[in-house]
Amino acid sequence: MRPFDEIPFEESDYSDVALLVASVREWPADDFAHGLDARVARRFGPEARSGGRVPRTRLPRWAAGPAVALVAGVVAAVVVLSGGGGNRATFNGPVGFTSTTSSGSGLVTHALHNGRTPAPSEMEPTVEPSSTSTTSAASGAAGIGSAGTPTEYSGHSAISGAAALSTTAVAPGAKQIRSAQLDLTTQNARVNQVAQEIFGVVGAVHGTVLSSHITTATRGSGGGYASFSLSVPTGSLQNAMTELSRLHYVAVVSSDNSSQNVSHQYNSDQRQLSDAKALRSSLLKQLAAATTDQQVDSIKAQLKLAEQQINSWQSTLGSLQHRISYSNLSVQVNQNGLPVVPVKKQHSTSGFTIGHAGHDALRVLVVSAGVALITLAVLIPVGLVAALLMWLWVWLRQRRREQALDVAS
Amino acid sequence: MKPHRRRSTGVKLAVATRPSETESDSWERFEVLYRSSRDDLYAYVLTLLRDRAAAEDVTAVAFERAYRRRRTFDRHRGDERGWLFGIARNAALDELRRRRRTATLVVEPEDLSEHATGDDTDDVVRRAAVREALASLAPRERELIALKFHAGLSNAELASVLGVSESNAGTLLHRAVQKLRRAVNAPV
Repeated sequence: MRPFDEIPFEESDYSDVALLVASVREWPADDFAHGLDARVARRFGPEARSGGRVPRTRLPRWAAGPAVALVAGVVAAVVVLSGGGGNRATFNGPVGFTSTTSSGSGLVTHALHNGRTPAPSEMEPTVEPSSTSTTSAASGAAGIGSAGTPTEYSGHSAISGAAALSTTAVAPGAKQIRSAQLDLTTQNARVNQVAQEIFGVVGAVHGTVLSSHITTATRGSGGGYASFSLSVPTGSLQNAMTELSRLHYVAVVSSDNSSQNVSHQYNSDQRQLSDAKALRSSLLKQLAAATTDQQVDSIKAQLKLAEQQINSWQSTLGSLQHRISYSNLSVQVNQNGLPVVPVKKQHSTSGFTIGHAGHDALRVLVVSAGVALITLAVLIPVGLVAALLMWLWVWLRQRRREQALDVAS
Repeated sequence: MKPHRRRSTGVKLAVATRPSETESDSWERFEVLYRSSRDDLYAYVLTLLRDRAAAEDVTAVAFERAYRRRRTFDRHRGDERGWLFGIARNAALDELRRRRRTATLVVEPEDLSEHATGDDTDDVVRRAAVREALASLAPRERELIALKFHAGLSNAELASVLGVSESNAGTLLHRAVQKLRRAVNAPV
């Protein structure tokens, strides 16, 4: 029995109780005490490890939940950003090039999309025998503004549009009727100058102006308009489009190039003409062999009809050949009478400048801040819910423990 | 008669807080805590469970948990001894819950009374009376007595372990002590 004075209780009033409780105190069995001593000596490791090796440091249990939530948040943010980034790339990225091949026709349609989402009609493959190539280059103009600033229009998009047209493939030996439409925009004060340049281009490619309409603006804004209906040799159509796109002071709003395969019709007309010619030759032989006046009159009547057919087929074939050899080109300048905002010519961006570096750094910072914001937006609600659930779980567990003590007899 | 063992006298683990504690320092502190608390912890757990085998298991579990969580101990929230007894209390209550789930039959508490050993008859009778008085207390009161007189916790540490205020812990303890006194002195 331990003496009373060895028990250092704070309340001396309880000394009698301390003595009573100490008298009935239970001590652990020696076997248990020695076994526990041994386990502690090995730091609760397996019995085989008698060396008391230090257990490997693991991630604390309390940190496992937040770590998982953090990883999930980062993954969600990356997914969200990558999804959004794809759309932005469509709108702001470099010029996209879409190529569609129509089955069976051997004709390829190319559409160039400069900074905008292509319309569904532009995405659909062209149905034989006609094909259409459309180029829009209006994205460079963000809106309508004053037209009085003497600035130069960008020619990059126009050149790109012409390049798209030049890639239209033609099957070898195919007879095609081609036509194109080009919408240009310029300052109102430049409409007349642009019109004169268009005439110059038409002459340079040996084309003709079928009709033209030019309205010159007298004020600084609105009213300037010009339209041209041109006929240019088919072989020079691409060149004409390119030259028109490169005119000074203009920007290409859109360009449209269509073609119609008329090989079948051309061959059919040629066969009809050959047949008519063969009939005429045959009738001429019959006429030479005719012996009676009645036979001569009959054959001459047939010859007359055959001549008419030959003339008709030659006329049809000539018209078709002209349509094949010369393409119609429609050019509109300020089609809606509303000029786009002038775009300054872009300078080379390949060189390193402080401005570019600063812009890039700012963009990196903005993107990083966005990632952090999205991550926080995901993590904070998840963390709050997790903390609430954790607190609830701890509270319930403690309550059940206390209940277990209450019911223990 | 059990061999005389010196009861722990509330060893103060006044180790200065350092910014970064090494593994060996942490181990030494745990070892000191273990040596000073092993018997007291066992006595406390046995008071709660009234089953020697279960008390041994829970004691071992409590020390192992304390060892695993030794780095999470916050000195500002109380003494290490109170922290250890809090772990043991939770383990013992989990054991009580487990018993309640697994055994629907009420298990009679183990007879902890000593058999005839030739000691002084008056002492034997007195100890039997004390045991009976302790058994008559409610579990919470028995726990308070054990924490106070087996573990030697202060009222503040008692409050920390039980999750009540210090004044409330003192009041509860006083009532339990009074009840125990009355039970011991009650005529048989």
